[in-house]
Amino acid sequence: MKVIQARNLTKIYRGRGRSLKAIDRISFEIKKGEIFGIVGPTGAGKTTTIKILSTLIIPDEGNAIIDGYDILNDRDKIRKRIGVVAGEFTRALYWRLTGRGNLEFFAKIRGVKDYENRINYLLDLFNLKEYENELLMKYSTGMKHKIALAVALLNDPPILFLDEPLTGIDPVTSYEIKELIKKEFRDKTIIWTSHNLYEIEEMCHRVLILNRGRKVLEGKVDELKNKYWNYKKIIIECSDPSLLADEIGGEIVNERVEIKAENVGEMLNEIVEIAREKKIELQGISTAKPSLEDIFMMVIKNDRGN
Amino acid sequence: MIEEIKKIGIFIKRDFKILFTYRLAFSAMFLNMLFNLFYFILFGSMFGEKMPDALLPYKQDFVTYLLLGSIGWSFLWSVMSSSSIALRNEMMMGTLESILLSSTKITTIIISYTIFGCFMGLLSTVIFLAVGYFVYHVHLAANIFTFIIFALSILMMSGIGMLFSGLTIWVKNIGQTIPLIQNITMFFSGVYFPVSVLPSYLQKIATFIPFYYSIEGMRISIVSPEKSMEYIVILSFLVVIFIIIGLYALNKGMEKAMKEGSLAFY
Repeated sequence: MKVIQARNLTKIYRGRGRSLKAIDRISFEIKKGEIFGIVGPTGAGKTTTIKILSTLIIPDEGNAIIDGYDILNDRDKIRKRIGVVAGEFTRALYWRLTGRGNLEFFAKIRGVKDYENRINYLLDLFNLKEYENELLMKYSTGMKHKIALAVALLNDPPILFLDEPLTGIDPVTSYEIKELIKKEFRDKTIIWTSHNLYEIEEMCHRVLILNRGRKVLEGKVDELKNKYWNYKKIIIECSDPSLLADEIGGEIVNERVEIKAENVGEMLNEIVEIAREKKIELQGISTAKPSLEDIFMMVIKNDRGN
Repeated sequence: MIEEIKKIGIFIKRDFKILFTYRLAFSAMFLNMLFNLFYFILFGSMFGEKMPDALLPYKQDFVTYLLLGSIGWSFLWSVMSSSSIALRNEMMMGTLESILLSSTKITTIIISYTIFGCFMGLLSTVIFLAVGYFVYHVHLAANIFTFIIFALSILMMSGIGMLFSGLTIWVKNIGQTIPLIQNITMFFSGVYFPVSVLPSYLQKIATFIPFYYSIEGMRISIVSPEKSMEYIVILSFLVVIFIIIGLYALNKGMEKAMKEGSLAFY
């Protein structure tokens, strides 16, 4: 069942004689329970897409249907079905209220029934019970992020829009939040944007790559790897990386030589031969499947080339 | 509808909670209110119960005249400016988007800020009234017409507040023009002196200032209740006009900000 259907979303920001096409005819569909990643360089249109779907920005063209409702005409109904963590989201909280105070305020204006129990549950879930009566201004960035997430979850929405939810937080908090999402939010449909491709690869079922407001690629991460990257990477540690890289046409990454190979066996033989000939001591050889980052860099470079 | 009314109470409670965390700012606001009172006390000491010729139509001494002007001014201005100031703060902090995501209507948000402004205005009114009553023994013989004019003035100022809020979202830097408008309005509204002391060509300008009808209407209702109707009619008309214009500006401002994606910026 498709929960989100975006059709030809286009947004142009105009001002003082200039205009910037933030997104250009973006279309995608997301199934119930899916975590859908949107990645792209800065200015690719990720936040604009999230804000359009959240009904906070009106698109110039196109439309989207969320849980059966139209973003242009059913704003209130959509807002009741979504939880949003977008932009500089720690700004979206009241720093002069306590953690609990923020949750209470937003729960009440959202009409959350039995809000005390819901708040207690969320404070427990995010390990914030101990600090609930501290003013938010005294919270660490990671704790503020958790409160922002808790606010988004107050009415237990079936759909979550998470715009760079782990940006600027420490690895421990980041890990905690990811584990929580994996365990607790299995039934939710989530759009997750990030600059961190490893995070997207770990968390998302499918991914949409944007560049300069345009869709450049969409699909399941594994399918994309198979389709666009039909070779493996061979990573070599050796006594003279620059000489070996020159001889085999590889590149040096972190003082190791990396080379792409369709036929790993043949390439390994060649490397060993060259190393013997040039008296290069091989200290270690490993192979790796391409990451989402490899695909991302490839499609972005190709797109820029176009 | 009932849900939206309940939300007004939630917003006001939040605003009081936040206000009390700004202890220094709250103390400064309170001290500022008291300091303004010194002007009132100073003028009161200078003029006492003297009644300048210009005040003969009001049958009031200068202290009474000043008291009513000060109360009307501070209360109604607080009502008018509270929504645009609060809205500007929400945009600067970035919390406006979070509130809108809760399906709260922008008019509910503005009404909440306006009522909070009423509470703040009420605080200064009580202080002024207390000083007037206990120090200068001023007794304002307010009647039903005074209260009707006062209520209509609150509605009119709420409409103007909505207009300013709409402009705040629309053109952003409207906040800078408020002190200018405040000074011009105060000058032509008969707050501290009767408009009749101005040259005749300047007196005509006063008739275009909505606030003039509030202050003058309240004064007239106390001394000549039978003449109150004229002001009630004018103010009722202004209420309708400004509420319509205010709602229009607010909705247009919101639409523009949502097209520009500027709800979280100021």
